[in-house]
Amino acid sequence: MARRGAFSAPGAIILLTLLLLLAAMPTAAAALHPDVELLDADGNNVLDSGGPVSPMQTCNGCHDTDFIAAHSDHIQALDRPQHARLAPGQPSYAADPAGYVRWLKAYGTMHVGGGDAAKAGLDLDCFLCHTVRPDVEARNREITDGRFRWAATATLSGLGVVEKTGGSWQWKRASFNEDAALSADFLGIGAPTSTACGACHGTVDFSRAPLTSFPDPSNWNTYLRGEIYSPQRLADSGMNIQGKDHLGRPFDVHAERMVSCSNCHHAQNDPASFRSAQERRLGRLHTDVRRPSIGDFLETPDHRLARGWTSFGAADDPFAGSMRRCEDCHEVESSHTWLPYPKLHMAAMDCESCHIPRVTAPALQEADWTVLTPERQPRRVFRGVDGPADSPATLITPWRPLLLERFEGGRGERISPFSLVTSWRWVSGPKGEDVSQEELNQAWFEGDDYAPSIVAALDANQDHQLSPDELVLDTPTKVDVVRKRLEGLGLKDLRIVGEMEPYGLHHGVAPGSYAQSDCQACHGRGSQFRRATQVASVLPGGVEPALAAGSGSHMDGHFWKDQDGRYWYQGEIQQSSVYVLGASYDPIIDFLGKWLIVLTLLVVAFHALLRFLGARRNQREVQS
Amino acid sequence: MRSRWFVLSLGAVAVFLSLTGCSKERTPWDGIAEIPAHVDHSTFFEGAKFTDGPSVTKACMECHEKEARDFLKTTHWTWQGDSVRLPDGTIEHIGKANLINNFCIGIKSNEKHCTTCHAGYGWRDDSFDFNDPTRIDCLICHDNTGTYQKAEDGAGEVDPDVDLLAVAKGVGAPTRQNCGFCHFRGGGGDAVKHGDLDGSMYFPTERIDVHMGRYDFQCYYCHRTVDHDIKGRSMTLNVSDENRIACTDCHDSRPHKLQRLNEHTDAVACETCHIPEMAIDEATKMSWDWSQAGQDLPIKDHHVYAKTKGRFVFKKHVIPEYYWYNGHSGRYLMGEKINPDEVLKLDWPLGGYHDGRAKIWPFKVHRGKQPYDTVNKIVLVPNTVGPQGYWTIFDWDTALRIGSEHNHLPYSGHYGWISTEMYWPLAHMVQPKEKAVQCDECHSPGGRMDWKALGYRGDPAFEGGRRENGAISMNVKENPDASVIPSGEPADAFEDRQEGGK
Repeated sequence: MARRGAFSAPGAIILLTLLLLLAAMPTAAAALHPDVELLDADGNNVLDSGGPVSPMQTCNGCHDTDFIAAHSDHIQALDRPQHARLAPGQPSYAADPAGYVRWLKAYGTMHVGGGDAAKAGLDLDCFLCHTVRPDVEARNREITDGRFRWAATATLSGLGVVEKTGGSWQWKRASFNEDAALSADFLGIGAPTSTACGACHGTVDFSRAPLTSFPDPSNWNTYLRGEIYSPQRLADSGMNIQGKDHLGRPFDVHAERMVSCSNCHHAQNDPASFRSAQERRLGRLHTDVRRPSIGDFLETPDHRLARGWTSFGAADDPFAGSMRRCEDCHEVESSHTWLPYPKLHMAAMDCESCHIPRVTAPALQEADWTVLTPERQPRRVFRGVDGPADSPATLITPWRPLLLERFEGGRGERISPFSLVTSWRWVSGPKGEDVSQEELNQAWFEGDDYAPSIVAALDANQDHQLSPDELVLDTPTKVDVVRKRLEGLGLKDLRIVGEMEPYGLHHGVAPGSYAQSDCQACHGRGSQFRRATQVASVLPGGVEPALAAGSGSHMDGHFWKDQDGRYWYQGEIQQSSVYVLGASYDPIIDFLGKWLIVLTLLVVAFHALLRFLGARRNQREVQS
Repeated sequence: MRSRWFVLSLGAVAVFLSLTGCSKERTPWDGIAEIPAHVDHSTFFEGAKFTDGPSVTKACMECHEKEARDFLKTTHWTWQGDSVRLPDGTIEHIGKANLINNFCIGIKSNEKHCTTCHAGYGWRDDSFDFNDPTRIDCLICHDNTGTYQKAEDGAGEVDPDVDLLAVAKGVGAPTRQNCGFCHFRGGGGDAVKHGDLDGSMYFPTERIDVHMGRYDFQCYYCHRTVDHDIKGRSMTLNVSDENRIACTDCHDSRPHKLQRLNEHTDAVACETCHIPEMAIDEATKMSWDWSQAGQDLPIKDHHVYAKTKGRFVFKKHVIPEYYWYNGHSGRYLMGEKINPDEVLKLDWPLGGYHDGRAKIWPFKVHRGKQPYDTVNKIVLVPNTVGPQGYWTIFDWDTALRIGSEHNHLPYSGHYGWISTEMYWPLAHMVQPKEKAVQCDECHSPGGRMDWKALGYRGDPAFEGGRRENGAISMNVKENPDASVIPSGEPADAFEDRQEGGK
């Protein structure tokens, strides 16, 4: 096996060329990779020790895994304060008195391991992203059962090199070669495939079987945004989408054109994809052609993957805007010859504003953690469905994203499409600390049943059951009952807070023929900048939600509650920095315009009068 | 004087506009032949009594004598088309009449069954008079009543129950029902031979075929006909690319808005993307093993097994196989020696990676196992129909002996079974762009294309195509993979010689 630092400069040129090809064909990367000896945490071959494999030890022979662990968003993401709350409104794990391990068992399936998780035994799992058939389900089982050390081993069970018998994992020596190693071909080592990314990030499907997708909090992007990354046509999918027979477009045109996640979200120092963040480019250069050597990259691949401006806190993120954007690949002006003022449009709005005209999967609209379902989950409402979101029979009604302005660093404020997610939760104390999941459980339940006082307050039809419709704190009385239960746990200064989080939409991109190309959609009377968007079906405790800090966007329109208690937002283009012809109006310009017309008519009339009078005078002089 | 200049100016403007921007832009509809107005025949034939098919034909010829004479020259009548050089050096016209396939194998000795689909009456044996226009069956193509039938195993004669006068009064231009009577049921049943032609096309929706479903195309809209010579040809019965129909007869050769798609058209046939699958509603026969015939097996499903015919595999929603095809094809001719240790291709597309005229085409490949003479090393034609036919007495030796006599083939009395393949290029069940093959279906690992088998180094999306790799020559005579007819002669040279001989 090659040792770390063994990549020579001359060889690097050849390897760089190969890497450029391999970036497009990840499965071929395995051919370059040496055989892999699986090592345990002590550096011993697992066939000798029988212990769990340690990717940190195994991969460290060639790759600096300490560097990778220290430079990986996937590790650090869950350590960041803004991500301490896993999902909108969900009590943060920092507030959970049972601590991090409990949280890791519940949600560590979304963690690649390493960082804080490594301290609890969940090692960085390189195999999860870089091998061809990771057994994600087996890994998840180990994590939820608290056997963190065996999680990476379980990941390899998909290759048949290890199996669980009698409750313990056994390495299958017959699957290894005579050097007690596995060939890279067999492991399928390469750049992460889109499917690998999809294991945690959302529905990614490259199979030919009819695609189905139901909201699942572990399917992050699909759950919050309705984004699906698949080349499959909507009409061919197994989803009950309204009007699907006429939707011949793929779920995402880039998936259809074989663009993989890592093509845009590349490693920061990947010489095949290197692109310095916009803010760090020299103004007079389009690109910086200097590259890290292939040897440096392979030894210390920077796993802080290139990204855009979607993440909360992106304004303070040095790598925000480092990913490939539409204009890095697409020649905009030549492909939009029908569009008047293309430069003006591109300067004001992200391409996704038109190329994600509708989202064709349900997305979370509201998560109400002021109440708990029997499964100890919040009351959830999804947009884009006409019925229960988890039923295949429910009609999916494609929904229009909310267009908002968002700060995008050097690109200024730009219009972009969003999925708006609203949440409510209980907080206590002067600092507004989250009420933990455990405290919520104790307040709402006695054993496996709802507390009698809560049932009495919320059971509108007196059937001694709480139906989903009844599970909402829509009156002060109901709020008081829960508050008293929480106060009984010693919590003080209890109150409900609500938050709106706009999640940017960048996947589920439609090809040009399905993009928004109706000028009236923005520039007419019914401009989508003014379209009303439902924020919530009800306001728990009457609490109006506020825009979450760090979103980078702003909502300058007005909110109102209709007679059914639904809460709405309507954009107000007047408050925007963008002047939209046909939709915006300015009282001063209107005033000036009106009087300019009147003044012009007066001047023309006066001029005509003078001409008339002059002609009469000339006629008189001629006659005299 | 002033008015004269005014008129002259107007004329100049009109000429200018007609020469510049005001000419009508060409559309695909311009490729569709103008349909002549139909003459209602319901008032004709007053007092006529039609006793058989030829009596109707004679009545037709009272007005359509020329049409009948024209028809005698067509392949629908002769069942013979291209001329090729036989193993003994002679030139013969090949066609359904004298070629072997891997379905019912061959027609000679089985005429009265096979010629149910002949547009004529009474082709029972070699004595049939191909110069007699009264034997033409006008009604099989022109009946618009939907009541016309041919008798079963009747050598093309009319079913006695047909009201010939009513049918004669109801004639018109051929519909899909007329063409489909034979072409949807080739090989002995619906969807047997063709993967892209079956009974779902009698009344197709757009889901089956965009031309027939969305626009209600009749077959002759594309198979344009002059003097009863219907354009179009089957690769399984011909070897040259004459008289073929092409999408570009109506559509632009680079019709896509996306340049990337247009760049495919040099190497990929339209059908490759726009016929993503065959046998959409009706399962088509993918293999036929004659060697299993004759057993009394407890299998009731005639799509799986028949004692008379052997074992079959039928499939629906079949993804085609893809091969290079330059319009020319190779053909196994009756009497040619075979190597029984190899799979015998009865027809096969010509062209290859280095052939600039070749494009990647979608094919149905029908695989069979059929009898051959183990001593003479030739494929045999069994007699299946009739009192001594295999379907009656289940005796292969007798069937092959009778079949060989009728086909003038030597028969040693020893037979075996050889695996064969027939290649059927797909041209129907065309899907609109919304249903066409998508990029990833070919350009991804495990996709539709075996790029290396097609001659590429790898997926051309990443490795470059033929032009980028300097692989193609447009000059067929400099090209080793260019089309070659069975005799080994370059097709172009053969065509030139044919031209000279005409």
